[in-house]
Amino acid sequence: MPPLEFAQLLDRSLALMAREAPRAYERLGDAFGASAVRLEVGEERIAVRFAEKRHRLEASARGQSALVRVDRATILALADGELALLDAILCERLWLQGSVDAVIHFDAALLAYLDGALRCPSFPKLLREYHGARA
Amino acid sequence: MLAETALLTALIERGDHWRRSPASVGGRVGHKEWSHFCVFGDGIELLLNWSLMDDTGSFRPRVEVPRVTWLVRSDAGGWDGELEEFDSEHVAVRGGRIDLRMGASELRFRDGVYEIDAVLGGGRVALHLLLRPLARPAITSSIALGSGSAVRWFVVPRLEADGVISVAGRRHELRRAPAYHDRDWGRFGWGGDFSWEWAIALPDDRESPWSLVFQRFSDRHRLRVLSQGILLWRRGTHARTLHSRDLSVRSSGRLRAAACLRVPRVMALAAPGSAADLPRRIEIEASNGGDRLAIELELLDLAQIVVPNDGDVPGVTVISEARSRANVEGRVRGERVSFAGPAVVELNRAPA
Repeated sequence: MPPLEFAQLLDRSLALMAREAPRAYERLGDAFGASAVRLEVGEERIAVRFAEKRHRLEASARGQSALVRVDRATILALADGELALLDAILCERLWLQGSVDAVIHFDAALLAYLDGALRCPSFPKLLREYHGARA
Repeated sequence: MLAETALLTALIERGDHWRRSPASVGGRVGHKEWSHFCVFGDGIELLLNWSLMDDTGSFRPRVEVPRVTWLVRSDAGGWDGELEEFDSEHVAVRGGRIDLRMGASELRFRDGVYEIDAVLGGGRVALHLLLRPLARPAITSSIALGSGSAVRWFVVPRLEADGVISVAGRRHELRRAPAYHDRDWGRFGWGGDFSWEWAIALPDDRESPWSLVFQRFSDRHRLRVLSQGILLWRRGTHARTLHSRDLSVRSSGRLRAAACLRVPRVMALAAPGSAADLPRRIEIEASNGGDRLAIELELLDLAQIVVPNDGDVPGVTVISEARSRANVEGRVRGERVSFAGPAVVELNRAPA
């Protein structure tokens, strides 16, 4: 089975969170507010935002948004604890761009996302699929 | 000697067994329980923890989630570790028994000796250990951890370990290595109004008769001490307990551990703190009547276990396991206490 694309990982993990950790999913929606995050992962281009308490993955974002540019290897290094987020930024393996407000929203949304993901019993299996390992 | 061994075995069989969650038979959810071992080899240290915990951090509470948490530190390879979770078909644990199997790890208690066989981290670590208890166990009374929450523990403060730990293909043979074991159980939720500091100290000198355990429970913000104490053993028997009012605890310095290992590894993202509120040194003075102890714990480095808070409490709880050195001096019941040796300091607190 080929590894998941990043958009698949993100969409499925958010759907999992809505089902398995709904309060954390609500907190994630609150952290996003009206802002969006644009993600460039390798060749993939997606934007994520919340509307009417549900996440939306779209091809592009309107309005205020942070831009995150990163590659798959860096995401895996972050998930495996081999690389800290700050180090990834400082050594230019992860680019984060946006207004101060957008970056603050992104930071709050990232922490809320991780807090929620960790409450989902099915998340480790999903992460292994993104890794390309047998689930 | 044979009678003492038989007594030790009977005490362990009576106290060191799985309690199991009441929720497994329709009772209340919230039980947590673990069986914990620390082994101090020459150039290698191991922390191994089997747990059954009711997990209320997700939408539908899960009862008795079986996990193995292991941390190993070798002089050659530094820290490694994982938190491994298992489906129930790969787990064998019976209430009232010590023995267990989780995945490729197994614990047995036979003829007064703990026997551990484990393959961990997909084969990165393999071990076969025999751990012989050298001191009688103690069991604590229930320690309240805020409203409706409490924990108890059963401790075998000193064992000696023989066997092999292989890390990334490198064999470490252990001969009479100092070791420690406890079992904790209770009903509480991660993220509740509590924190703890806990330490064990064992002597380098195998002939030294002393071993020591320190524990302090506080509220989550560490402004109010709920309970604290020191238990001291001399040879196989409990020699002295010093209680809350007898102790003065002081922390100093800062343990710089920004890049320490955190498990599960993805948790490093969720708890990116630099461990800035962890001390480099903990000094404990204790006295009562003519007895006194001065304990210095120097924290060398650490790994962290990060768990999501239970219930609807956002955030995580961070449990730091610090490889440490202990120096203990004092006088108890007219006898001088003096030893230095390996220690583990465990700090459970909200992230900085």
